[in-house]
Amino acid sequence: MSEQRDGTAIGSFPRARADAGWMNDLRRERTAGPRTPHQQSLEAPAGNSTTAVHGGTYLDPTTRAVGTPIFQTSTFLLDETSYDAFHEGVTRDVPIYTRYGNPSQWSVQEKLALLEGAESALVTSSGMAAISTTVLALTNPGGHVITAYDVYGGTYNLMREDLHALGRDVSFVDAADPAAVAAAIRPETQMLFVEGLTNPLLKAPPLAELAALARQHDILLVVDNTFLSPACLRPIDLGAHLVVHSATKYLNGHSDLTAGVVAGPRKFVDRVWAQAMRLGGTLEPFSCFLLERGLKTLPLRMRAHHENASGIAAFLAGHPAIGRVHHPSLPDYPYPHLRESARGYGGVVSFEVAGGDAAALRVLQALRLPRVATSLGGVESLVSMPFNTSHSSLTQAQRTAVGIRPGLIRYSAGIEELADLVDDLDAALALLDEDPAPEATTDSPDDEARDGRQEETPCATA
Amino acid sequence: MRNGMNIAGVSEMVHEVQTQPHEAICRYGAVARWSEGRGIRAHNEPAVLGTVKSPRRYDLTVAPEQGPTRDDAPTAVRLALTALAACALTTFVGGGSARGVTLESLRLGVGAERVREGGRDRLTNLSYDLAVRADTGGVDIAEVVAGMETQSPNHRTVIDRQPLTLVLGDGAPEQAPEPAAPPAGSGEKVAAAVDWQYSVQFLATADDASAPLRVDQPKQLAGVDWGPNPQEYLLTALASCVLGRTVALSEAAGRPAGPWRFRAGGQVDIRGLFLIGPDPVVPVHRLVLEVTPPDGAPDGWQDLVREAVRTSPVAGLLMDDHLVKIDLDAAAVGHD
Repeated sequence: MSEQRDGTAIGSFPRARADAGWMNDLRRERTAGPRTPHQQSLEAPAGNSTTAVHGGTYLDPTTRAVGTPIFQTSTFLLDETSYDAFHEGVTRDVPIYTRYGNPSQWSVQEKLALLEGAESALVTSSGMAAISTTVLALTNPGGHVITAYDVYGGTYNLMREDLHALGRDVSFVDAADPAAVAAAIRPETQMLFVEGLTNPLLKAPPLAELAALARQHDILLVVDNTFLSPACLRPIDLGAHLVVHSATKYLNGHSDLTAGVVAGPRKFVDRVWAQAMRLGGTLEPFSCFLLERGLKTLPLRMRAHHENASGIAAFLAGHPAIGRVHHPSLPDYPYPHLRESARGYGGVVSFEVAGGDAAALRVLQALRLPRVATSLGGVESLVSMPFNTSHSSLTQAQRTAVGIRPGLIRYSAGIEELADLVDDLDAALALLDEDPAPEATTDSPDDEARDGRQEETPCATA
Repeated sequence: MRNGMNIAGVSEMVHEVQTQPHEAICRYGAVARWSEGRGIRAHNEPAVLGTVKSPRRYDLTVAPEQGPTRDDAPTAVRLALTALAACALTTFVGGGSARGVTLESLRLGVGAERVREGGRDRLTNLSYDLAVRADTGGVDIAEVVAGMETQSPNHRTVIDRQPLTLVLGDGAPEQAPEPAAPPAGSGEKVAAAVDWQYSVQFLATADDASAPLRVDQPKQLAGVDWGPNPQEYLLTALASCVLGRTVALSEAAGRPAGPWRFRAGGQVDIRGLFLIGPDPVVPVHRLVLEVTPPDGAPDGWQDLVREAVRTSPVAGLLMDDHLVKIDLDAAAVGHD
């Protein structure tokens, strides 16, 4: 009744086995993808903006739609190509069932892989799904992971609360200090997991140096590139094995989607895919469409985020009501190597309000444009304070140990007019001279507070 | 999937090591320790598979070759026979799956005669009883068996002699002494059997009271980390056997035994298993035994270790060449 699909076209062939006499006669080798012949291919290396717009787009041959259709289906008709895929073990490359793969996923995955300079990518249902699946897939019981003591709270909790129960040991170090990382390496160390730019203090580990160290010890370097995105930094170009993202942030860019990404060599991403199939963190087709649409404007948006954050940082650095400002564009930024490898620094700028948390809360209440909410990377500016959100469960001493001092505000600059954002900040800071300071509260307005660390001294080894 | 193996995944690995030979080198290690009261405890070191590390958290108690056993612990000789049989079957499953053979059951019994006289202790008259029930898809099972004989790393280590390097304490690496000649006459029959479960997972049993042993590959090599792999069992057997004999010799000489540590290492080039290249190296090679003596070890402890190596049945299995007689019992099932 139905027409058979062209298995060669969708990547299921060549068959591994064709009259093989022994294993050396097996014919299948790894290829980029998965992909279909209807996806837009970029023949020559293209610029980021061109790749973001065109890379991986599914050009539907029937309707000739210019954008990728939404393949809103959980399953696909079985045929000989499907059965061959099961038989040969290539079910990642053939549309069978959306948890295995779906052209909506493949299109956005190819765009992401091209942007990150990777062979393959996998989208997941959240950034934490990407992280947890990657860590589990690429480590073994008895393995050891090194990560940063100031890694994102969700990642920290995974590392601290779950990995030991799954037979993996974790060491928390200052990832910006290669000597500290080297000192933590053990014979069973399998993975070094760091962030390209940390939250909220924007520390930048020396990725090229860490990559060399990792390769010297047969360790996989996995970089969470959420804060910079491939528009600003491509960790794989610096030697990282894999990149993960919370695509909820800059990659999507509109605060209307929860998703994650892992990108790297197909050798490793296939194993993450197999783990994701078992754990179930699949991204459904409509979310793939949203992510693909958001990605088309990633370079444009990142330029605006960068310009706004840099402008805000410059304004705050000279303001009498402000203490320290954390931003890579400032002359006293302690990680200048980032300027050599990055094409921008994203939209986050963190700063300390003189007068501590109570004064900072007053600034938050006075701001008119940025919304007080957790998350970042959307077109709208968002603002929050680590002490009552992401780092609320730390004692003051613990916050000080990771560098979070009283009065710290994390400002995620959107793409609004810089002058409007600066005027708004200027007006809010001016109010500090007028009203009496209210009591600081640790009430948490959002869920990210629950990602906070438990009572444990930072830098401890779990 | 055939026989639980992802054939495409194996195929991709074959192509990877053709273009990136350094990814074919798999390094394994096992450490055996002896202490008063606990006897011999052994564990595997992290394996390095090309440029990917795979921690292997397996440890076990190894029973002494003589005297009362420790609960259901295996002896080093049993570990060696298990390693031999499991590697042969891993090779059979890989080669057979590549050729399209669909297995129903697969069992390999390995037997040997253990001849002991004076200080000498050798394994001779090795034999395999291979039982195959499969839908062969027209493939001659004898050809798969022939491939198993030529491409199984552990099997080739036993039929071709492999040199062993000794590192005794802080001393320079030295060639291990030649194994003692086998005593004349017949000896005790020893045997083990390995049954295929799924993919590259096997369950090994023995006639003695020791518990079944799980065998599997790291998940980076098509396994699921269900147990040590055949090379890890082989190295565990080597370290444990020489350690046990060293302790026995030490006690016999009236010297304090102390907490010895023996580490056995070796590597496999999986291009040999895959039959890639004009002259692939198949056996486990670069075998090394590193010995850390207890504090205050008496002068001459190095000679005790050399003698233990010379008379160890497991070291003799690896360092001498052997003939292995193979009996095949193949029956077709399914569509044949």
